Amino acid sequence: MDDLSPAGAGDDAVDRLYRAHGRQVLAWAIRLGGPQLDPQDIAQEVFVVALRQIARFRGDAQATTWLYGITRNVVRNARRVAWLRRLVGWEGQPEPVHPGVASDEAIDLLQRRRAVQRALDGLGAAQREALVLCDLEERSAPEVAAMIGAPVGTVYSRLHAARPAFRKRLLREGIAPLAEADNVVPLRRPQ
Amino acid sequence: MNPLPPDARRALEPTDNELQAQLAPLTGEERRFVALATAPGDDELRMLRARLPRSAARRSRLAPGLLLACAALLLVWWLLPAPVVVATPEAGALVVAADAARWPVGEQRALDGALALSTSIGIEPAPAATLRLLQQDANGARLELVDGAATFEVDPNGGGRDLRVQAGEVEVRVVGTRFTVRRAGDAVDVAVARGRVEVRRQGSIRTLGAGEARSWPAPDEPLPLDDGAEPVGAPPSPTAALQPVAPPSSPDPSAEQARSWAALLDRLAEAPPAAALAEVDAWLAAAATGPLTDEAQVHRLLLLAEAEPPRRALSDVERWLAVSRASPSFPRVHLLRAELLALDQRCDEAAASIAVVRAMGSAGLQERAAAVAEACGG
Repeated sequence: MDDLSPAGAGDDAVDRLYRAHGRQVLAWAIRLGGPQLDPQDIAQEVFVVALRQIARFRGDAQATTWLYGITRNVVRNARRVAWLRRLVGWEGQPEPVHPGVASDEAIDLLQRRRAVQRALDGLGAAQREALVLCDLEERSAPEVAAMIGAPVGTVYSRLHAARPAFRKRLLREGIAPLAEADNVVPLRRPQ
Repeated sequence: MNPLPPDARRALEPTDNELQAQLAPLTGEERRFVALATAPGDDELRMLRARLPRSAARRSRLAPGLLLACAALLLVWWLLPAPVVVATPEAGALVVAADAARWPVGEQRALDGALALSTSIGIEPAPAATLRLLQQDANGARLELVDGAATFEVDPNGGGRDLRVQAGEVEVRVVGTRFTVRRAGDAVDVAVARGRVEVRRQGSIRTLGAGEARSWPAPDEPLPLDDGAEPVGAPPSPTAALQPVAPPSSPDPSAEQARSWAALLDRLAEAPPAAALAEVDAWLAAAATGPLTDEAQVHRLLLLAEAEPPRRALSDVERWLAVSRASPSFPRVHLLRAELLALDQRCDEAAASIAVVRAMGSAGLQERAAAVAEACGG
């Protein structure tokens, strides 16, 4: 496990946290935040909160679990605020967030990302996190249960509900699932 | 019938792998597609690093007395003027007083400390930020942020306060404010701490107020026009370049109130609407009047609309509207009233609020009002 103990908190704690977990936190922000939120804002907020609390991190839990707990709260808060703001038009249509380059490949990637985010967004929060952590990140159900503080059976039941719903929404986005038996048909990208 | 002993029961239970298999997981290619499509790119990761603080705050374990002494020293240090290098304009260059070096127009340089371009323009560069001086005269300066991040502060009461910062295709023009620009390749972030700035890009302008931030990484994406924004090339208002822009009335409150409101928003994320409503009520009861109280009151109305039946929420909405005609949220709350009335199937009464939104609201609000009118049958 990374050295995130109080003794490890200090001037280079930012760099250590970022190097060890930056990509993971940003991925959670993209997958759980949905297309309406800027993942950079979410990830930045997660690190700000983490750095504020790092001295209290006792090290008896995985750093990943600790950071996931923070990410979960930040995402929930941001989604709620965004919803409230949209309700009375404080924010118009969300501005798309781009990965930083505008080559054809980047635009293509962005379109795919948007489609997947919309499909994930159609799930409830609990189902979305089960699907992201178990299927996309290939964590075991017991590990996910520890991360979200729920019984293993609950993780399974959420996955059970999330998978067909997610497939249906991917289809609606124009992303066709593979043929059941042989994985020969490539996934179609949204037009 | 005797129940099975625990060992036998456990032996009959499916293993984790068996359970996972029964649940028809995503196929390998499905998983790869979805995971790849949502995986952050290296550029995004670099942008994130640029946005993180340089260092983490240390937790002090000092004795309280020593802490007090440190606090007193800190206060003295804080009261002392910050070490700032003052640059004075000279034909075609700035002369940086600290080392009497010239910064010629067109030269790119990495700044390693705060710099005052005049008595009214300050620059606080992040480490390794690189800037190029494009133009300077008695009225102000034009700089290009080549890479990295820098915070700019302009005193509206000083002379030579017209500052423009170019970052890629984005130009930020400011009169009297404090704002930060970050650039990583083509990606540009602009965050405004105080006052208001105009951001121009590809023929369109948008204004950002205090507390607002925007990113414009994609070169082909034009800025959405604000309500009333002028297209580039239109004759500028004769006083626009000279008058300090008044800070917006919303989020520039006292730091204490802002902190307490931010903390409340954190707590609200966890709370069901009714509990959140009670928290906002308590905050409002304790808060001194300030710019955030208006935002909090509107937030409260939204929570009320979520937590209570339309009629109950409507009475509070109408009370707020009766005394808040000057609030910038006035048309927005009228839209909320129209939506609640439509929900309550009182479309006739909603018409008046829809008319207010059409007359006073932004384009976005007007669109939503049109949707409510349509739901009401025209």
